[in-house]
Amino acid sequence: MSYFMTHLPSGWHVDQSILVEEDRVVCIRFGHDHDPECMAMDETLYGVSEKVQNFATIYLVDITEVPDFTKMYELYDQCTLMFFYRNKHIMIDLGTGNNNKINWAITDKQEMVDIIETVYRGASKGRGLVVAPRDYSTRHKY
Amino acid sequence: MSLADSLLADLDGLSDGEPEEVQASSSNGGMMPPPPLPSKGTKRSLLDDLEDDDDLDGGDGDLKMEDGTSAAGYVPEGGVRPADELDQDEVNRTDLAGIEDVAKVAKLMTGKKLKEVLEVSHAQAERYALTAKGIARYTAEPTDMSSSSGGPLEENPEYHLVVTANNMSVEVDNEIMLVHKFIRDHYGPRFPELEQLIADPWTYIAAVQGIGNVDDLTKAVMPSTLPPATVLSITLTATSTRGRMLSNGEWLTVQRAIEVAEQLRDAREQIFNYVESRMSAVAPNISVIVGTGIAAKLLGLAGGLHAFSRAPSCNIMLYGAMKKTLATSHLSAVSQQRHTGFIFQSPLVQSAQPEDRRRAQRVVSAKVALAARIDAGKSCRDGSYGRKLLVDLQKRIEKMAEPAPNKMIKALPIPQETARKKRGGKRARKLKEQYAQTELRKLQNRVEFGKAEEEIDQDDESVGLGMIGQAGRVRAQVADTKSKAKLSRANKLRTQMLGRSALTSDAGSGTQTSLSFTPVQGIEIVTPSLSAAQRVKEANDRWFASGTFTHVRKD
Repeated sequence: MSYFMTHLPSGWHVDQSILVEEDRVVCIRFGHDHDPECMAMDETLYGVSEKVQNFATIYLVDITEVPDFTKMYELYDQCTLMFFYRNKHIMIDLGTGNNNKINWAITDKQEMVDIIETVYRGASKGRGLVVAPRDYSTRHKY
Repeated sequence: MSLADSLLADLDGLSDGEPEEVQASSSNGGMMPPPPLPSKGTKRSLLDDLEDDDDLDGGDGDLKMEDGTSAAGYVPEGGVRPADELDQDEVNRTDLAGIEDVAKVAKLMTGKKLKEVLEVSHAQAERYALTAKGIARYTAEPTDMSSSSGGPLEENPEYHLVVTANNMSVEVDNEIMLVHKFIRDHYGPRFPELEQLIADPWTYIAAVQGIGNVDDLTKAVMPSTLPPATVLSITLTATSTRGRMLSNGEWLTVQRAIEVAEQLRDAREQIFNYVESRMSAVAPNISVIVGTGIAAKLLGLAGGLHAFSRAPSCNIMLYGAMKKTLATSHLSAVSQQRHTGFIFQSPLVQSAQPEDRRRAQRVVSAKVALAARIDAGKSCRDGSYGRKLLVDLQKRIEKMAEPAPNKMIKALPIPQETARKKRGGKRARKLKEQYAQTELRKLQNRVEFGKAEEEIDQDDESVGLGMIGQAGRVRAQVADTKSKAKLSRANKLRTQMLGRSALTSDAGSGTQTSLSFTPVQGIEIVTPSLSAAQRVKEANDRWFASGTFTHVRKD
């Protein structure tokens, strides 16, 4: 479903999207549209994009097309989801050890909505690190 | 045994089974096998008809639902059930080439039943035409049937004629089907390919008439009524046909069959015109909704307009429906079209999508019930109410075909956290006050700095009293009434009752003496309880001294 979502074609666009958004969480998925894991993630993101439009906006970035952030954000996974709020990177404690990003595909829409909501709640209170509603340290189990 | 052999054997078994079934159904006199429904299993058997000649020649009773045979659906009292349509496929499968005389196939034209109907209806129609004149005769002016002065509709002989005529039209249709097949079978040797070229019976008959029994088919003159494309294909096929000339006798048979077919067509047209004109006078509103033919069938089955108007819509829907029987239970439920009746066959319901038809049938029958009541009440004679309903129904049925509206995805609200207002009102406040910390407890929890608090021993532990009873307090602490335990009203009443009974009991308190000093007798022991016993005894002496009621004292 990635073709329905907004793609950011350059680094400038990515910067602007993060900078300009005043009161919504900006979720950016870094990866490739053709990647299977990204496809699964995009499906979920597209499914929730309408629901969360009041407090979050979702963009897709092709890391081959826009390699500017690869080093800074250490985008070495197939699929990476990052959250920003008022030009600030919001970290999220998922229990995985990597608090900077979600680097796997989330397939449950409600889970995704919950995560975005949590990020919004924490970020709007000025927190830089929020705790995810669920512990993903043992996600291999699910 | 090869696969083909076993399949053949299966087929044999099937064809063996068929006559048995026919025998079984013909045993009930070829009366009323299942009703006219578009499925195979519900149509009546052709062989059935061909076998019981005498029954059809008798000419009557064919429409009556006499013994309520198991296969037939519900027929209300006084109702007449129309004949059943023949199955087209079955007619096509039957070979009629062996039958020489067309009269053996089409018994209706020779029978007296149709003749009677036609004659009477013709006479009635003419009389009607004379009185009402012209186009207006179909709609305007109350006739002897629709006027209220003529008594109930069901007693009018003409009404029965309408019903009979309408039911007859089904039989005429069956006959036309048969005669068409008859002509095909007998004309087949001359031009075997013709029946593949032309499917429509009337076009086929016209073509047969045009071609005739000529020597060279290519030189035949086609009638102008045939469409040019058909004429072209006929002439093309004619060049390579493997047909042979018919003998004179054979050609005569075909000609006679054509004659009969034309007679049948005329009869059918006449019946249709008649029923249409009469039904729009009797029940204009019903006729507008479902058409005159089905309206006549419905009224005929119900046994009159008034009986019909009293029927609920759920029953109207099933008029003409087939019951589930043993004979049809082997068929699949889908092909049987159970719970569908005449209403289901109306063009309005058929215009709906197949999946919506049952729903359409329900709404149409609901409106037909309303229209029937209007008709029975003799209002809206011009069918205006029926037209209004028809427009509504058409809209409704159109709506049924529309796809369901898209589901709107509602965006979630912003997860803002505001201080929650926890105000519970008077009752919640009272409850809180009731269990709030009292002054006494607060004092107990407080300790004066540098002084040992008083302690009391309770069981084997000591409880500190804190600042209770410390200096500085002039007056004793007054317990707040709000935090006092309260008795419920019921409990209060109960305790009051207990207290009162304790006060008023005869026993008195244990320290009370029962010795009393009286001036007359000295010491007397008064047993308080005895006085009560005495009272009982006294009463008994007065009323029951003689024992029980059964003993009557003789004085």
